Amino acid sequence: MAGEWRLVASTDDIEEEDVIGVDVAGTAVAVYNVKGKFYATENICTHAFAFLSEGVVIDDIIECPVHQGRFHIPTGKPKGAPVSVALDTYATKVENGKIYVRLDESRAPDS
Amino acid sequence: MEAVAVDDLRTRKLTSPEANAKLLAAQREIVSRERLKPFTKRTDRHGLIYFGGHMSIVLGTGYLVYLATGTGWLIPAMLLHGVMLGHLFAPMHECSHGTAFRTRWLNETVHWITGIMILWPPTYFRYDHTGHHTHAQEFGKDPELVLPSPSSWMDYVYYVTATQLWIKNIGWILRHSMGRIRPFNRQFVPEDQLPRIFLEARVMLAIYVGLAAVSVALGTWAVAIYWAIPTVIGVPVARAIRIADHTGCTEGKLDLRTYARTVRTGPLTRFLCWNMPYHCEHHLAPSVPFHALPALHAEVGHEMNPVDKGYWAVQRDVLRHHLERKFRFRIVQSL
Repeated sequence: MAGEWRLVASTDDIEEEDVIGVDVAGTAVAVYNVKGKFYATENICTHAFAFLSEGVVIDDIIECPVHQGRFHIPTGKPKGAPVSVALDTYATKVENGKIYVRLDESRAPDS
Repeated sequence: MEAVAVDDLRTRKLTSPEANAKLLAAQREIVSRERLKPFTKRTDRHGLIYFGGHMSIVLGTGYLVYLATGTGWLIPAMLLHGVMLGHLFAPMHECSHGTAFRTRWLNETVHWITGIMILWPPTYFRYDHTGHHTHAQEFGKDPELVLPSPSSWMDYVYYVTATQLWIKNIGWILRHSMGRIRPFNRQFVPEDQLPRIFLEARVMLAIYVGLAAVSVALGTWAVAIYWAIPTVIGVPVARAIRIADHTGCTEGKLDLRTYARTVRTGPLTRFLCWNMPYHCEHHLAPSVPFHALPALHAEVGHEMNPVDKGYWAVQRDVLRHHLERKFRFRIVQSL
């Protein structure tokens, strides 16, 4: 189940430097477009549990909408206070304009 | 009014999922993410202009202090200089949100410089401020609650003179530098980050002790004349302005439209406060950088608290209608 590729969106669904939230088999996942490359992380901020898909993408950083905690999108690494616990990241692939996510997560070290 | 037991504070985490979900839902009721997105764009240009301008003014008023030394103009010059120094809270606050500059190292550098200049531990403030945004205007939960109802005239004096500020901030620095933190403050900081908070306080304390030691060794009053005394006598102006952010607005419930106040004021005040007179809009969407707040106000301001007439009017209203006349003294913020 976790290792399956799951269709989550079309590439047209996510503007460049933006994010959307999707549900993948009951897991809240944020899918990002960073300069045409697509990434996926867990969608819940590890600090105060807000949806990151409501936040702001700045280059390869996602900023939480509530307290402006920041994470590095490709690795999920926290980028300083108020966040200190990394996000789970998920593998993505794009085929024929469709974005797929696989839920076997990996996690960068916390700060 | 909610009483908060110390035992509760030891275990409670204020930035709970429920509280933040409610906060975000309240924001979306007023403005959708799509509508908000254009206002969240970050730049370095605006921050550089504002910080460069602000520091130029500080240098200019510092030069006035130099020119006034030995004359009867020294105290007025130090007061003016101190007012400008006291407003460095504005860039420190903006940097705490990470919205002052697009480039992170610029943001963090200015955060530290301004924090040291006004005795606010920058990293601890960033944590503390999360509690303010999640629980604005909730007694016992909002760490920055200013003059909640009922407050007395003595509370007003205690706040505006910055007595409360110095007791709180110097208390943070001393306590944290000894590896201690009060339960109320601890709830904002993740356990694994406490060593960073303590290190930050030790670094700040070392800087201040170092400055004092160098001053004594060289027999110079420069630090006192150009920084310490002006800050102490000038910061009450910034405190009086900050009263307008929330005091007298809705308390005890999450209402983004009415629990903060946007104040009509002149360009110099807006500049020195880095647009924080648009305080309703700042609380509506703290991801929006200071330079975009006037535009956000034009977009959604009509849905928020009516714009107040000015800082003098707000002070008058607070003094007339918000404060109890009886002589009563209550420490509300030195938790």
